Amino acid sequence: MLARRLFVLLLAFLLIITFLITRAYYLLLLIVLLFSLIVISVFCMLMMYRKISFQFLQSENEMNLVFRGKGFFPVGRIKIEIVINNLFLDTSLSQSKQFLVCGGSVYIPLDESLFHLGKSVISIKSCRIIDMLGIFSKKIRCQEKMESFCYPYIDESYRKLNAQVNEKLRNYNQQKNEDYDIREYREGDSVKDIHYKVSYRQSKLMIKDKYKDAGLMMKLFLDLSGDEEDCRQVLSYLYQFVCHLTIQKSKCQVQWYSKNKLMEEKISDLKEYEEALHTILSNPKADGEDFVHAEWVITKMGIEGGE
Amino acid sequence: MEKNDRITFVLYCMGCMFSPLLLIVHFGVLDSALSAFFLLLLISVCIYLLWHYVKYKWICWLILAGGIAVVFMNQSILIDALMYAYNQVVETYRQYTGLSFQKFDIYFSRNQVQIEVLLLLSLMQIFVSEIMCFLFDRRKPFLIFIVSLLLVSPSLFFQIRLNWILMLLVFAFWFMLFVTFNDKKILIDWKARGKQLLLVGITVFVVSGGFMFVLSEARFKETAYKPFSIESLLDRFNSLITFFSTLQFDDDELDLNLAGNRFYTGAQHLEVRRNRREDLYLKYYSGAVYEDNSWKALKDEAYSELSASEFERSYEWIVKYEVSSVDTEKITVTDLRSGNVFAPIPYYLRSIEADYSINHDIYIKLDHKNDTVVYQVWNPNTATNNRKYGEYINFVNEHYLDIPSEIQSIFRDRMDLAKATLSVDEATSRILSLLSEYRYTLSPGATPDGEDFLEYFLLKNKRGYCVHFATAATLLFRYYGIPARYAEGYHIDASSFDSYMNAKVVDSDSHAWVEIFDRNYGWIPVEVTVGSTQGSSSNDPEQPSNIQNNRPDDATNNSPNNPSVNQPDNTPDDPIENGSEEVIDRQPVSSVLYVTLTILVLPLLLVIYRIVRRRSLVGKMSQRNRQQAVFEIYHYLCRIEKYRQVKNEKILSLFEKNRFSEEGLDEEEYRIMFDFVQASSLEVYRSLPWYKKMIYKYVKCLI
Repeated sequence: MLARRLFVLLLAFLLIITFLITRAYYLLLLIVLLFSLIVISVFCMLMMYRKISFQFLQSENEMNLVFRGKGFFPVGRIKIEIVINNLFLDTSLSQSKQFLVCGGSVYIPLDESLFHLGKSVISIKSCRIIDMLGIFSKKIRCQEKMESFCYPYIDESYRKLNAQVNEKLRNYNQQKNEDYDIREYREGDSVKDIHYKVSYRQSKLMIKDKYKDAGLMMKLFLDLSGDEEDCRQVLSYLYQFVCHLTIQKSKCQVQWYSKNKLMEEKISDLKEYEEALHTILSNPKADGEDFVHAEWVITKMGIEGGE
Repeated sequence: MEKNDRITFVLYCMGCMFSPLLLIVHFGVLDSALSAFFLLLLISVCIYLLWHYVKYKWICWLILAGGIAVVFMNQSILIDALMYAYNQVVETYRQYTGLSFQKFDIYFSRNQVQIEVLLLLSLMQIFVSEIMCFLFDRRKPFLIFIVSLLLVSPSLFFQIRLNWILMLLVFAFWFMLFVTFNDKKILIDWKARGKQLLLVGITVFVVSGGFMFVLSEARFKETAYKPFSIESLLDRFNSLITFFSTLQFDDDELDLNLAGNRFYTGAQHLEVRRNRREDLYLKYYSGAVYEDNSWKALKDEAYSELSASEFERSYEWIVKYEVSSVDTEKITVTDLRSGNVFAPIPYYLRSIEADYSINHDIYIKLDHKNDTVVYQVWNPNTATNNRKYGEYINFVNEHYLDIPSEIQSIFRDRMDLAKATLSVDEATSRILSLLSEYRYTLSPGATPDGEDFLEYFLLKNKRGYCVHFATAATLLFRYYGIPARYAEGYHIDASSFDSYMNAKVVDSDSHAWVEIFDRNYGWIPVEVTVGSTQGSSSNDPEQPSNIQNNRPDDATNNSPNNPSVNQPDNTPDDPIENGSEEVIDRQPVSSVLYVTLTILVLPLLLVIYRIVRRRSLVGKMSQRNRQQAVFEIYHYLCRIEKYRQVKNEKILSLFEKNRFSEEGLDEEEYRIMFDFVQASSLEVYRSLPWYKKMIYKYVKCLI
């Protein structure tokens, strides 16, 4: 903009000097036109927008920032500086965008590479209205913040049941299943659970009381200390694990470190998984390689544990 | 064609069409402008479509190559067409500007010429269109503008009647180009862009329409050649130069050390009107005492020796009204100089029709300087009943024969001039003969420090101008027993007066001469500056009527105002010598120097203020009492926060710890605070616009 201003200043100066020397009528007209256009351009800029708003629209293939403004005869352009703070990866990226305004909504495409795994908060750091000629500008306040979630892409290989893990889980569950209490039969109990041997000995009906409702609450630790790709793999394995859980109707308690703070969530179905994922992605990932002992550990290498 | 591309296409057509069309219509090389329009449009559109939508790009280059081939194959036809077009152009310029150029002596039949010109035009349009396509593709709007301007500029700069519609379209095209300048980083929406270009176009036509209605071309031409703007600008410029060049002359002393190389700007100082076309001397200063390389006035005590009556009649040394003269004349002088300057007065003054104050016999000052003053002068050749001066003659003989002893010894011992009492004519002849050996130049150089001005001129340098010659001659006259004094003023050549007997007196008319005292006529001027043998003839071409003409061989000057022989002094005081070296007048230079120093001192003071303030601030933040130092850091951060928020939780917790805890912060924590504040200050500074940066750095001293 400084270059444009200097150019206009120099042009005006040269035109005036040339006019004074040559006294050409059309040069005078050109000078008058130049100043008139500057005045009109500035006037339009000042009248342009009083209130503006931004909205973030995310679709499968593209991400757009939608600009809406109310104003009087908008001609000119707007320059915004967008800051995208990724809460999960704790990064901040900024990008500058300029676009022409015409009175309606303007869809500003955003580069997908700006959005990484996790929750991103999109804020408009600065917003300037620039006049038609690109010489003057006016700053306007815009304190809107928008959110965007970038969930880990789960490729097909993770969607299939991993036989090895499945086996481990089944054995684990079976082992858990073998742990039961004996109690007297109550109305409503399943006849399948009758322990016949004990019942014969006790001469009354006794059943096996398994810790169904107490739940097979497995403790699971997520290692989110790696980079984005490592975290994506960890979360993909988590998804796989949750799929197994839902099949086997089990629950787990997921723990992970957010920076230095230990966080946990309970997952028993896919809905709770989504909520937990939401929480994971909304907080910063682990700083260091802090570790909590748990029955199951998911790292970038895979799911380990179950012993 | 995509919608955004349509806008580019429209701009491209405008760029290809309007400038050539303007030339065709204006110079009348073709009979029908409409056919020219369609031809140009057809070629431009075809080239555009070929360039952008044909699969094989080399077709466009093939067309270009084909055009060049056609040029070579039809050289004679195209040369004929060019000659015809040239004749038409030259004829048009002759009609409107009066410029005459030689035409080609050719004859063509009408049809032949039209066909040839059409061919020339078609080829030219192919080249222009391909160039435009290339430039539009590369997004070079400035080059597009230059190509368009080149075709139009000669007609634009002259007062030539142009087709106003086409001219406005060209203007609209230029402004549209400017709006689309630097489009690379902008997200373009064709509606928005179209709206902008439409607004530009409407503005151009509406404003132009209003302008042309208020000030039509015909009305403008009536007033255009009246000197309204340039002359007023030049007048202001003249006043400024005059102000600086006459600043030094505001007291009774004339510093000869300033008589170095002389430079003239042609600034007008006076306007003079009289009845007779004769040389005129206007004096504003007389120097009586030569001392310390300067001419000074006599001290007030010297005048107290005069009797009261003579003292009261001191005006007679300037104005003598008890003279009967058959031949009197009115000389009107308008002083255009700035500053508190002395009045330039003619000799043989009878009356001054203005309020003035007189300073003994040295100079007068008008009460209202810028008024036009009428002086009545009497002709000494026809004067009768001229009362002689009384005691003043003795006074003159007493005080205007003084020569410093060192100057006497120079004359006597080193120049071998025998001291004698001579008549005026003898003395004048001898002095002129002596001074003829010295070279006249406007760039003699300054007198070196510690040297006497006259000694340096007479014995070492041996070159100078009127100031040097007049100083030497004044002291030589005194040496030969004739009371004399140094005079400065203006010498107006007789040829400077126009047919209305008005003369514009410029800075180059400034002159110095000698005054000798006559019992009847009072102080009369004597011209002593010997003319230059180079005979410079370089008038300032821009002001031919203002600067007096050179007369290098002018040997006669028998004007009644100059009873002594005058040798050509006109030439030497002309402003610029041929092949002159660079000359700078010291007088405006010293004033410019003072102004420059003032301009430099202010930023220097600002820098010093900043340094002092920063040191004080950093000192407070690094003091031994760490608790106090952290307080200072906190205050500093608060001042930075007026621009942008910088504090974070960690820093705030450290502040609180410093404030409320007993032990305060340790060295490491203090260091964290200090480094943080330095980094934050720098970060905030970098994010500010340039004018806020100046305030941040030099006024608030926050970095």
